[in-house]
Amino acid sequence: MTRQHRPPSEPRYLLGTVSKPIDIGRYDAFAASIHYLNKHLPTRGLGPFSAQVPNQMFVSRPKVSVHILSSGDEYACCLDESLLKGMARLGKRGIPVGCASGGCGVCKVRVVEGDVRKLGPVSRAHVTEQEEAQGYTLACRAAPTSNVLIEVNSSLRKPLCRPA
Amino acid sequence: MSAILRIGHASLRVMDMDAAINHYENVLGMKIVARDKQGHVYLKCWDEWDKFSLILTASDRAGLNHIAYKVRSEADLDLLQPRIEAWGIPTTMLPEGTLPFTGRQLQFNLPSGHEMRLYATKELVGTDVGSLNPDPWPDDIKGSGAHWLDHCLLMCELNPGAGVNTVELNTRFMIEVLDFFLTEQVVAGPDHSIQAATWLACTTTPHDIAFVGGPSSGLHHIAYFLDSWHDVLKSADIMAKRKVRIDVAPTRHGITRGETIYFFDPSGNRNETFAGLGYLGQRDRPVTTWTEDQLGSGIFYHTGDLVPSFTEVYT
Repeated sequence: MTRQHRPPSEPRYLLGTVSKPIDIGRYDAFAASIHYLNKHLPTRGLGPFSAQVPNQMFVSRPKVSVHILSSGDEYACCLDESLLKGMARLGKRGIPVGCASGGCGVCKVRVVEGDVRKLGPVSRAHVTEQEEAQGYTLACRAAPTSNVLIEVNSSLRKPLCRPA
Repeated sequence: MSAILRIGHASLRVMDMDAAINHYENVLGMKIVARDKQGHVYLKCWDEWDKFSLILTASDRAGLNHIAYKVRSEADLDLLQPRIEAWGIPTTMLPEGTLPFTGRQLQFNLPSGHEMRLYATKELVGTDVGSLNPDPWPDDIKGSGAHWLDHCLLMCELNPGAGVNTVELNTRFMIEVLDFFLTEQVVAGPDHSIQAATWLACTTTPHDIAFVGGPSSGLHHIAYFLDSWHDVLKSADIMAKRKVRIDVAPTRHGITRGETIYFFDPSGNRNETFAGLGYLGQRDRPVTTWTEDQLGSGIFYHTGDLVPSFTEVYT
């Protein structure tokens, strides 16, 4: 059953929790992210976080919703993280986190609605200029700037559309 | 005896040159030895004696431009050219100076499509410890302090349904023409008739090149040699410090017995730093065969679990 997609709107704040830590390499080191938050991110009304607070499971960073058209999945994605990183937190086995550097192409998606910000170069071997104009990008190289609706390509579709 | 001495260099495409230089200098520990007018950057490891072993070229995509092996003499190039042509592969002899510091290059494409070059001459600059009463290592080692570029693994188009197996073709070519020898192989299919991956040597290590079947051809990784398991751990520490995306944390391969870590450069080209001889590669050593059902153990010996990203992700 496909969930209704919310139209893109202003970024909202969620008390997003990392309900199930997913190992996608170095990126999810919790303490490191708290440290990073304290250093770089505005906390807008929620006060600074402390890496010293035990069980600090709330990451209150500006987040938006990402909806996946084909599977109906929805996840919260921070404005400073890639669509892929947020997607990996869905915890579905087999989400193809590849090089996470824009080179291998396994996380190709199409942004159907909403806006994203490019985090770095995307290999032309996987996303042509024409495709880019149509909204295609690599999920590891795009951070949301609003709520977004994305369509996943074939290599992502399988893991997302079967039960976790 | 093979005319091929060893792997000589790899030419890689990178999408962000500054990030790539930072990676190969500070994570691998290579040093820039030259830049040319086209903006190509040449690097070497401290324990290599020829001028360079890596060429970085700016591109809009990642991947391998070419892989080069060094042969014993210029005469070997002239002997090999007709042998390669007779096998059915067209060649081009690139004149001296096509690449800086490098003599003539015999250029051709493997059956898998990868561009390979053979050369006999490259400027000798010596290792960082020199050759006269040398210390075992220099004082200015950065990052992982990789000793040398050791081998590469190329993903080769394999589509048994369509009768395409460029792993097998590449392997035959390397053995029949370049006089490599097979050390290990993976066999697949109901009657084990599909040679799905091979490891081949021209030196005395378990492999100087490897071919693994996949839906399309590409670069799986280039690998750098380290002394010991502890160096592999330290290499992983460096990656953690530098926020490098680690693909496979330190572990051991069943195949080649390598003690290893895999990671990506900032363009997504996979690198490996590994340690250990594995075993002495010899022409009369029985070929090790891994069956498809044990492939997990062959690749990751401890868990025996196949990691999809490791076999499916490449540039």
